[in-house]
Amino acid sequence: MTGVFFILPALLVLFIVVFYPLAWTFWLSLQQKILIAPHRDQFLGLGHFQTIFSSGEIWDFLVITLIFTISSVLLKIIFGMIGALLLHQSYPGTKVYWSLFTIPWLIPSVVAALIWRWMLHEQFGIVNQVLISVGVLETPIPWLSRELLALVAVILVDAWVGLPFMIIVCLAGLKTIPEQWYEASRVDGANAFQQFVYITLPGMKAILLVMGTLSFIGTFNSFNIIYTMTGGGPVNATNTLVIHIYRTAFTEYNFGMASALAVVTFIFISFFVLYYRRLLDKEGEF
Amino acid sequence: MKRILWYVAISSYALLMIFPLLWMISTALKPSNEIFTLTPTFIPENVTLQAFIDVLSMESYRRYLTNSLLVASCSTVISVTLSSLAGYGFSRFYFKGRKRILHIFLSAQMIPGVILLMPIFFIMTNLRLIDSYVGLILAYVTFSLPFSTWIMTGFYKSIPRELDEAAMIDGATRLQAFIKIIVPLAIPGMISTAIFSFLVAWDEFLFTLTLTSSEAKRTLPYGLYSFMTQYGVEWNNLMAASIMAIIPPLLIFLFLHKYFLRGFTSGALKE
Repeated sequence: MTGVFFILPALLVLFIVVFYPLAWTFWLSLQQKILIAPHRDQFLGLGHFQTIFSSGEIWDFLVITLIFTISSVLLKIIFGMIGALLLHQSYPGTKVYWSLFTIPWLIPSVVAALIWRWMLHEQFGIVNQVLISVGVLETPIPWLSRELLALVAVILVDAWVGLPFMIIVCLAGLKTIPEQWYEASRVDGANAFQQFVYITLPGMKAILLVMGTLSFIGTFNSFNIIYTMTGGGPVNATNTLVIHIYRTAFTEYNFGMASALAVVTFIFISFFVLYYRRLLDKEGEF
Repeated sequence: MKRILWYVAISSYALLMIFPLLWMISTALKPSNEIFTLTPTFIPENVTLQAFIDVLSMESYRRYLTNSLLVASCSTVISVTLSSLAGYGFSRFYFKGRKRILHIFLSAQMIPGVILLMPIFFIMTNLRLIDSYVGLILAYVTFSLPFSTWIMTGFYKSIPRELDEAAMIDGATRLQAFIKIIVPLAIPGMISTAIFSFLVAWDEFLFTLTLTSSEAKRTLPYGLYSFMTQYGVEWNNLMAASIMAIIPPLLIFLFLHKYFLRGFTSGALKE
């Protein structure tokens, strides 16, 4: 019983600010609730869900969300591994590079988005200047107002912000692989590529799986970077589910519809959270 | 040869990683006429601190900065206190449903904030906590609390149970044993937890955007965002303002980086 006493305060706070609101979101999703039209408030049942799935718009947003999330996570994992492999050497100066790789991590995400907005500025941005001066471009590109380019831009920036953490975790993972395995394989005549495929990758499998899932959930939930860089536009090109829920609630004030979208999103992301839990269970943590 | 190749590869990688930061610094040190030019230089022709002076002389910016410091610090203190208690409970008592509750804690961290946003907006409105520090602090605590509890639970597990048991055999109550014996040993874990909580609050944008209505209560991310959306952005000023927003996390990293790493990696790696 004493144990419960220690846990209770934290549990209470979580209940008030997470679980009680979560239940309320489910309840709101069954209501007609538009803040600027309170006289139309009524119980709708599953009406919002019918609208969502019959209009089919949600699939567009889901596709954008998945393109954004999967691309960003893949970039983080691939470049995270490359960065970690580069750092996993014993040449002098590794520590300095380690710090350089870590620094972007310290940047608040809104600030990161602002820096990139400035770098991608159509007229005065450095990216266009450089591309023009090396001859790749002839005229400046309005990066954030072309649909496909805007999506690419938010993916790259999100990957850039998340990369340092991935590098650090991958490096920690590499260090757990015994050096003797590499030595033994060298004796057997394995080359660097074979070592990577048969020793490094299997040794990193567990960490990459956990980090991949964790990163998927985090990226899926990403709001700050997209909202600051494009606000979900141009048109709906970067309108991920999370951004769409926010816009439905706070630019259209349609809280009922926003809650219904939130419920759908919650159910979707729950599968990944359950999968993450199972991974941790298999690792035998706690 | 292999070594030269390595230096070339890792240096190019590092340059790509930090170039945006270098560009931010370069921009912040330029006078306005060097910003709006079609041939920008990397090294400013006339280095000036004018942008920093301009930004710091804005009352609204100073307000955002102090708001962020206040809200992040308060939510950190609360989060560390609650997670230190809860982590101890989880690490020492194997009551029924313990594992399930621990999992619920961890899942709470993974629910996107936007899903809870509409009800929290109502709750805060009903409690008259819109546009107040209390509302923001309460919301921020929940972003860091689950993970902080996770970190603390792991940390307490590295402290032998025999220590508190010995104290209790000597006549101390459970609470006394916790406060006198365990808390002092758990301080490194609490530092990690504090860093994590502080940085989460420092970074937060969605709830400050939603739960504050006046300029007076905005935190830094919202403040910077609102600078950008104004007509005619002074990019050198905005970059100067952004640099100052990086200083607190940078200081934490420089002086406490051992704790820093443990806090963030414990969700993915075993101790």
